[in-house]
Formats: sequence, structure tokens, C-alpha cells
Amino acid sequence: MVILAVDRIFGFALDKLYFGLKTGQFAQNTYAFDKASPNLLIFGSSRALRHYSTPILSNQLDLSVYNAGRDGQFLPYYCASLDVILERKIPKIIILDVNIWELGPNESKYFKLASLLPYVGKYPILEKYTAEISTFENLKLWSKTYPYNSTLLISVYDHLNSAKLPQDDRGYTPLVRNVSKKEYLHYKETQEIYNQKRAKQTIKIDEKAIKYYRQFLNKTASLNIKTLVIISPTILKEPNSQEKTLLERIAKEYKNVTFLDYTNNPQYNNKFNLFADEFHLNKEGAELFSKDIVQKVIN
Amino acid sequence: MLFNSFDFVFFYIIVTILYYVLPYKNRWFLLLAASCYFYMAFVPLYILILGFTIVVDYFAGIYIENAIGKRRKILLICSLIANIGILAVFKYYNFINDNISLLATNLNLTNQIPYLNILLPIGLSFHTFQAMSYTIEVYRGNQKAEKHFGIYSLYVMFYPQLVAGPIERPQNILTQLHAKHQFSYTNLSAGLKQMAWGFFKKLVVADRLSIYVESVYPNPELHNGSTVVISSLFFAIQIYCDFSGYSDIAIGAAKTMGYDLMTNFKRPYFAKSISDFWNRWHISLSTWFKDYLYIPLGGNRVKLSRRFVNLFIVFIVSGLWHGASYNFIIWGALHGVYQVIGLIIKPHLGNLEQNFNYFFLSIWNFLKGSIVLSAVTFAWIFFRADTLTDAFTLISNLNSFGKMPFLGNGINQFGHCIIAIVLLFTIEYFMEFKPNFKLLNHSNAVVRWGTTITLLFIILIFGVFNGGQFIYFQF
Repeated sequence: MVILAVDRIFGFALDKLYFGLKTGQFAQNTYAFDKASPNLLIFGSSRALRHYSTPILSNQLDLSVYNAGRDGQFLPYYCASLDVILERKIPKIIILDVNIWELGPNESKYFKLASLLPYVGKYPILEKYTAEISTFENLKLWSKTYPYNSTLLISVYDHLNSAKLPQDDRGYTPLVRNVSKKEYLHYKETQEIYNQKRAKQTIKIDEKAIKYYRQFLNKTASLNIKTLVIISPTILKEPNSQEKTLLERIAKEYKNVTFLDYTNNPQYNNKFNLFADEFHLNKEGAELFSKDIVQKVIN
Repeated sequence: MLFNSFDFVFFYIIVTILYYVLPYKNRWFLLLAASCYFYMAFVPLYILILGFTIVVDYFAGIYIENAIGKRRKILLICSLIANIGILAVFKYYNFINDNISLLATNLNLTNQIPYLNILLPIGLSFHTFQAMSYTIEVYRGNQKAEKHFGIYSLYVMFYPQLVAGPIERPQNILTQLHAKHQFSYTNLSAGLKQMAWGFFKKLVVADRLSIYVESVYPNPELHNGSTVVISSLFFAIQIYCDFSGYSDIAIGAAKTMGYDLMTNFKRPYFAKSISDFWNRWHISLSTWFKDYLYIPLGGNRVKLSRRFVNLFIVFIVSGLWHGASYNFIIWGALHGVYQVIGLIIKPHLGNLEQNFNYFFLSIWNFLKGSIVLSAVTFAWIFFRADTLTDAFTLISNLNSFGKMPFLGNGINQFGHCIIAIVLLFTIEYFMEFKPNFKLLNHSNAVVRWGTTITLLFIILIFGVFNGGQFIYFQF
């Protein structure tokens, strides 16, 4: 009884702390799930979050836009967000930013679905996703503290630093720094080593990730939503891989889907002044890229 | 079945309740069936290997006891060959074959010996060593041969310590397996608290640090010296919490049923010398090697140079016990070298310390502890690196120490690592230096329960619940 009572008290306090946030990633998650109802919706990982400038897309396309990209997430999370948001609003256009490792073997993409746990009570549709974390995941939700596992530190940090945290613009959170030439050369050097190592490995495709990819595209196809599947720019050319080919091949099976691969685009490759780090465009790069996307949407 | 899984929670509760509900005479059967189920949850077929070891050593024990003269020794050797033979096939065959291939290539020959495509049975080295200690003790006359096949099987298979120890001696566990254990609230409470402490180490510390370590070690060429230092220190703490966490859960689970397993860890990172470290780290294996290898080689009764050689042999074998690769051999060899250096400088340090006052002695002890931690952490690089090349890449990257370290998946992740380490060492500091300051066993019920509930909620709020298996399962 004491443990149950303490669980409820902690759960209540953590819930208030989490849903009371006004800025930061958790607040953005909550906004995307509870309120976002734009005509153009962007899904993806941190690369989506940093690469698609909502002011540019919104102004030039004359559409309401929301960027629902989330740091470190993969296809299962995008599917879960899509399910929740589509219950409220069916957008005209969806951009799905996929990364080149999306279909590769990486169990963590399922463990990361734990970030959906605080929302399961409100959106029972998410239970099928959180069940991917472990067999007994939904049983663990009997505890009211457990859904907020590993959130306390960031909740407190975001509360204490709410004034200093970068404010997002309809989800979009640009990065403002530039990659130096030295960093660029280091990335180049390490990528060569990494690619050599990878070339010797047999990469096993994650069939479950393919299932989620198809689920996402089937859903947008069934609702006749114009969908752009994009692999956004990378600082270095990415060699063709089994995963990339598969992403493209599957996307092309759908009439409502346009597939765009920017990983070997000379406008961005090696232009280190357009990047904030190894994986993300900076604000300048994101704006250039967003203008490019506007043209693709118009065409 | 992993201790850090929900399946285990159900399994443990059901088995423990049934254990006390069943009449005493049926309990061994329940524990044996539960242990089989526990083991078969990994790779069911491998129970046959375990069964083979059990049958061989069960009969070996009885025959050794009844035999006289040279026959006893021959029977012991046969039993040891059978046990080591299984280890050799499953653990060392491909490694030996690799080396033959390498040698053949250098001699412009082709190695025709086929490779075995088999998985290493989980915890093989642990239960093989436990089985070997039984036949050796029967041979030495320190233990009577066990006649009850079920009880003997349970000695090898007792589920809490089946896959990762502690590696028990028959004198401690066999008598307990025969004893009638009454339900005791004291045992239940002590066992559950030890399990909670084990879960804290595994879920809050080991699995949290593992996220960082796993993002660095597989790609050594991508990381600078600062990152190598941080990830290696994190790995040192991770492996300690992973393994000692397992031991605490095992000891605690056994305790709730009335069994006392041997202590396996005593806060090793508070050690002030390498020999002190080995008196605190994986005690059940260290004492196994001491009893069955170091002492038979001559122990401390031989001249110093021979003692150095013996120590070196023990640590090389200890490295090989962990795994069939040069990484583990180098790890063992490094500890052998550390031990030898420790033996050489020990008398000089003793003379020096006599002149220190309390203040200087405290600083001196801290300094010694830091040196031990650094040396042990350096050796862990070889233990954790996937290949020897990776280990040397990581070490060569230490040149770039001072650059901004990699912070993992954001400051949140790194912050959790720091919180976990601070919590661990604060609690261990009190355990080490203020042993009477026992919050979990405080005489005041409010303090006692308050601490227990706080520990549970620290696990719930900060723990990693999707962490992988225990590192030592692979051995």
C-alpha cells in the first residue's frame, strides 16, 4: 500500500512536471500530439527537426506547417506520431525525412519508443507501439511513475532554463553554428575508415522497420495525402547502400509518394559552411534546402 | 532468462512461493525443475551439455571416493579432461583453429581443419569450474561424494548462480541443499534488499553507462583521447555494476530461500593495491584459481622469481577463462605484470608509509587508489575492445587527450551517467568507511522503509529497463 501510494504521488508530480513544460523536446512532443493540426506536416529524426524551416515552407507554400521531427527517433516513432495526429487532422502534404540507417539493424529504434509512454494514457492507439519496447511494457504502465522513467533530469533542466532554451518555430529548431574546415576534414577521414569497415560487413535489413515504412506510406496513400520521402543533405557523399536502395524502391511503389535523395547532391556535399555538425545542416543550410523543397512541392 | 527482465520477476515470485509451500522433501525437485526452465530459456538444447557434465562428475565423485591409490588420481584426471574438453570444444576450438590457420599461412600451407559454427553455451565456464571444484574436493578428501543425483544436479544448476556465479565450493552449498530451510522474515528482507541493490547497480548504473560505452567502443577510430578516457572509466564502472549487480541479485534470491552464497565483490574500486583489488573482485573465481592453480603451482612457498612466474600463469589462465582471444590474454597478462610490480614495490612502500602522519596517509591512500583504478581501467580497454586492433586504436587515440569529449546522445544521457556514478560511489563510500551507517537495515523502521522505498523509486525513475544481458553471461 505504501509503495502504491508513493508511486501515485511520484507519478502525479512527474506528470505535472512533464506536461507543465513550455519549451524543449518534451513540450514539442506534447504540442505535436495534442495540438498540431497543419496542412503540411514533417516527420523524421533530429535531421528533420533541423532541416525543414517552417517559416520558409509556410510563407512560400501558403500552408500551415508543423515540424514533428524528434531527436534520435526512427520509423516506428514516426508511425506512432502519424497515427495520433491523423486522428485530429488530415494534412494536405506530408514530408517524411528518412535517414540512411533507417532500415538497418538497430534494436534501439524500438527501445526509443519509450518516449511515447507518457502519452499512452491519453492516446491508447500508442499501446501497440510501446508493446515493441518489451513484452510486458503495457503491464508496467500500471505504475504511474514508470512512464516518466529517465525524464526527470531533462524536465527539471528545461524548467530551470526555459528562458535560455532555443525557442522552436512550429517545431523547427535550427542549429546556428558552422562546421570548421578542420572538423570537415576529420569527418572525411573518419567516414572513409567507417565506409571501409562497413563494406566488409554484411548488413542485415530490419524487416520490422520495412513493415513500419510500408505502414506509414500505406496510411498516407489510403488518405490520398501527397507524400515526399526525403533523405536530406549530408556533408559528405553517402555511398549507395542496400538500405538506401530499398528506401527508394519501396517509396516508388506508391503513386502519392515522391522520393528525393540529397545525399549525393553537389549543392550540399562538402559545403561545410552549410552544416552545423556531421549530421545536421545549420540555419543557412536549412533555409537553402527548404527553398529547394518548396520548388519540388510546387513542381 | 535475464534477471533484469519482467519474466524473471514472475519466475522468481512463483518459485519462491512454491518453495515454501511445498513439503521439504519435494523442494529439491522444484528447484531443479525451475533451474532447468531458467537455463532452457536461453538455448534449450544446451541443457544436454550441462547434463553431460553433471552425469560425468556425479559418477566421478562416487568412484573417486571409493577408489584407492593411483586409481583416484586417474579418475580425477578423466573427470577434469571431460570438463575441460567441453570448454575446449565450445570455447577454444575456433580460437586454436584460427591460430593454426595463421601459422599455416605463414608457412605457405592451408589449414584443412573445419571451423565449428556453434554458439557458446551460456555461463559454460562458471558451471564447469563449479563442477570441477566438486571432483577436486572429493579427491582431496574435503568433501564426501554426493549420492543424491538430484541434489548433485542442483549443486551445478542452482538457478540463482547457474549462469554467472558466484562459483561455489561444494562444502558451502551441498550441505545447504540438504538442510531444511524454514521461512524467515529476516532472510526474506535481507535477500530482497540485496536484490534491490543489485538491480540498482545493473539498471541505474551499468545499463546507463553501457549506452555511452556502446556508442564509443565499436567505432574507436572516431573518438578522441578524452572520449576514450571517459568511456574506459565508464566501462570499468559498468562491468563492475553489471557483474556485481548480477551477484547481488543471485545472492539475494538465494537468501530469500534460506541459502547463503559466497560474497563475490567487496567494492573493488576502493582497493589500494592490485592484490587488494583481486581480493575484492570476482572473489569466487580468484579463490578458485588460488585453491586449484596457484597453490598447486607452489603458492607463496617458492622463491620469489618462481612466484612471479606462477602469478603470471594464473593471470594468463584467468584471461583465457574469460574468453578465447588475445584481448583477454593481454588483459590477464597486464594484471600478472601489475601483481609482480606490486610484489616488488610492496616492502619499499611499507617502509615509506611508516613515516606518514594521518593526513599524508589519507592522501597517499587516495593516490594509491587512483593508480590502481587507472591501471585496472587501462587493462579493461583490452577486455572491452572488439579486436586487438580496436584496443590499440583506442590507446593511440589517447594522444589527443584534452579535446572536447563526445557526450553521447545529448547532455541528458551524460547527466544520467554522472548521477548514477555519484549515487553509486556515495553509497559505497559509506559501506566501505562507515559500515555502521546502514540505512537499509536501520533500527528505526521509518528510516529503514524510507530508504528501501527511495531505492526502489530511484530504480524506477533513473533505471534503464531495456538494457541487454549481463556481460559475464558470455563467459
